[in-house]
Amino acid sequence: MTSDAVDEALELFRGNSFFRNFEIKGAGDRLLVYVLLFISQCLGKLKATTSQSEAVKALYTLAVTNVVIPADASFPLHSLYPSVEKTEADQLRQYLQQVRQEVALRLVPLVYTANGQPSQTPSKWWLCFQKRHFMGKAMQ
Amino acid sequence: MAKLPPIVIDNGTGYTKMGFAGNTDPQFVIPTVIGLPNQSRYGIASKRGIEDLDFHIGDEAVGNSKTYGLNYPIRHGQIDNWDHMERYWEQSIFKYMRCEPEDHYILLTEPPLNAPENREQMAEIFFESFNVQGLYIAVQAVLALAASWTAKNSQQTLTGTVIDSGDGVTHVIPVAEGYVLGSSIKHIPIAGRDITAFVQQLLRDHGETGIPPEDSLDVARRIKEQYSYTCHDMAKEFAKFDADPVKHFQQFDAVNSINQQTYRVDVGYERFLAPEVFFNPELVSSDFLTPLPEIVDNCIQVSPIDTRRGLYSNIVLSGGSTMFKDFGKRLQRDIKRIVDGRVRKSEELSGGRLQAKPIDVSVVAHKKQRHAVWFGGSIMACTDQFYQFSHTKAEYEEHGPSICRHNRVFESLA
Amino acid sequence: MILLEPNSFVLEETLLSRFNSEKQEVVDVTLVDFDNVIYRVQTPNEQRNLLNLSVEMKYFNEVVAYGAEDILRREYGDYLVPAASPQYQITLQFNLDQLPADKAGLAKHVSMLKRNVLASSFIRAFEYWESQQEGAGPLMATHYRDNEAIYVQAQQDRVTVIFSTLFKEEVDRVLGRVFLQEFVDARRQVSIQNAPQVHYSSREPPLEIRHLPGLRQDESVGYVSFVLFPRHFSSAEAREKSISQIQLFRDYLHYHIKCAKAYMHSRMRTRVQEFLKVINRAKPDRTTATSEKRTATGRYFRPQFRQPVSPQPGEGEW
Repeated sequence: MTSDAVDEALELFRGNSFFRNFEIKGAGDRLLVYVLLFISQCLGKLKATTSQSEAVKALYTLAVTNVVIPADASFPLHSLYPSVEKTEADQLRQYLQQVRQEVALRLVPLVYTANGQPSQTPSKWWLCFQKRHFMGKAMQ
Repeated sequence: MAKLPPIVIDNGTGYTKMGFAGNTDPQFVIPTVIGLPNQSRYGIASKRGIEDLDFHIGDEAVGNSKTYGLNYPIRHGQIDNWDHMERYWEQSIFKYMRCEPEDHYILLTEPPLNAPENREQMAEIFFESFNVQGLYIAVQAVLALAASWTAKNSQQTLTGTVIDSGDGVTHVIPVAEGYVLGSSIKHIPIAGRDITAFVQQLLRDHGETGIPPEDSLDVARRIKEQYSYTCHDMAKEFAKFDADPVKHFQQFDAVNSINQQTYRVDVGYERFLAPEVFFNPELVSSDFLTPLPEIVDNCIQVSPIDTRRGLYSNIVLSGGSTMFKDFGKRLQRDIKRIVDGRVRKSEELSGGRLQAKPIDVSVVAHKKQRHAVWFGGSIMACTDQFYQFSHTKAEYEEHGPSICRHNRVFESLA
Repeated sequence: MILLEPNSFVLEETLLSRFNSEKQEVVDVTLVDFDNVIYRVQTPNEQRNLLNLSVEMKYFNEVVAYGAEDILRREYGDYLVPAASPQYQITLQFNLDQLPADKAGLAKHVSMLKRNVLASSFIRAFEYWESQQEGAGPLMATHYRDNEAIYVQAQQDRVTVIFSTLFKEEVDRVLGRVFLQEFVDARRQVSIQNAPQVHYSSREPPLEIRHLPGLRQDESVGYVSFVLFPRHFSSAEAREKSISQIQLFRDYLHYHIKCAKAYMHSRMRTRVQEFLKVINRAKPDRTTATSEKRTATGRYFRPQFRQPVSPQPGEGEW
């Protein structure tokens, strides 16, 4: 099985959410940071009582609406990213929207597990990361 | 007449460990705290009767803290209030150890870089007040090295780097042939207390609402002590939990200290995150970010060049916060990585003309780590050398307290 | 802590932790009590469910004559091992699987062992008094330390207890004398007139034991005699209390001498600090007007004088 950037980010999310300092060494890290922040935002939408189907819906809506790109002023780490041209920005927005959808899709089955089995409620071992923010930042 | 065993007292900032030499564990481990009556602000000269005996030490002082004000006579390892300390010793010896100090030799400990004046003070108190037969004041780090001699892979030398991590602070202390390299000592502001607080916070994060607030710290401490282990790689450890959740997530059964009901606490990532604090201080601290292996490496790098190999090859753990499972292995791997990296780099820079002799990095863990300093003292005080090297009452009378400024270093186990 | 406890706290704690331990680890612990008593708590021959307590007591052979063995049998009969381990005088053995429900009580009781053994000559004397015999009973000596002994003798109307104690230090001797003199004086207070009479003599042994050979008669020896009247030992309760308190008297005395010295040390430290304050006050004041200059930016510029080094508490004691 090959793993792509989204898988890698999902794997690194829990470990990295404890860190405030992160040295961006390349373009891959920039994507990783974006995805980590988005996962954090997704988790923020979930409650202990949210059912799996509700979660799928909620995260899908989150993924497709109001897609922030790093060049936007509302992006918390916006200074660390290069600014982009208008046409490029639209393209990036589209691309990131696809990434976000993919993250939302893959995150749900990970979170809705208990003792290795699929479960109807989100696992507390994921929800405990709601309050922690990677690099102390969060996407609104 | 067979000699009575010497008394070994290790007064630490947080806890005092005391017991008779020859035993493997201290008989008492009590907080270094003295409880003095609250109301009596009697001037020292207006004493009538026995007010000066009205005090408690250790757990009893903590238990009576409503009517007795707590005083901590030791601060940052150094004795701060000699009046309180003298009385603390008074009760330690007569009540806890229950022996007549006139019949015993005593081994006391001191932190590295202790002022010689403090040694004189100790000597005055023990020879003048307590009439002890003999006194030896040992440096804690050296005793910790001696304690490691019982480990299987020990080299039995008094050269090595001691990592001493208790409740309040962690020290890295290089020792060469029994003498502390004072200028190279490093301190890390992270120790047991911070780890417990971190565990407590993690428990709160994953919603362990069953824990009553007054037990919260204690539960966190026990979970830290019973469930923690050191992992190879923090990021990958999460995946291990996903792969086999049943094995990795565990439950801790606790009893409510007030209504005696049992409740269950889930234990998750804190199992490996707690010790991880030493390797990624960022987990708990925002201003101190250097990992322990790096500190150890730094510490050895600023020590005299002819001692460095010895310091790398004998890194000794001491204190309760080094008791995590596989802590030594992880530390050894990380330090080795730093050292090998440096060696490789210098070889590259020399263009392959120089070939370095590989540096042996070895971290020694052993069973007596928790009270390593006391245990080292207990071993030392059983040797014949102890009686030779101790300062006796007769010498004290002849020369005065200054003899205790210097304490000879033990060469070996007899 | 004013009085010393009659039981050994460290022995009690050690036993109790073993009694309560579920794992039954192999142990070997050596402990000490006042007056050269050594306890050894150990697991015999890897039998983890057993626990031996051996006691080394120099004067045990002496107190056997006063019925110490009977006392041991009475108090610890269930645990007593007939033949004590080599170089020990008494051995008790506990089966950790068959302990009574009250483990704490047992530990406490066992920790009184030294007290109970040492009580034998007292009990013998009290019994003699009870038997209402004519004349004085035998003089029973217990050499509880090298060169120091307790003598107990029953008379028709009282029991006399005499301690000899040794002061290794000149200072201790003086303090001891003052302390014991206070003891005699304190008894004049109405509230404690019922306390036993105390006599103190240094050098000269009291009449009761003067005939004994080999008594030391120099400055370092002190003799303390207590005269116990029937009210101190007629009831069982008073009797136990008298025994517990009197037999620890020597340690009590030495403990208080040490406390007194510790107290004097704290007074000396306070005094030194006060003197130093006075001396420091005499130093010329260096923060005069010239020291406050403005810098170009308008800030005050103060030369940094070194503060007088504050002394370590207690430094320069005399």
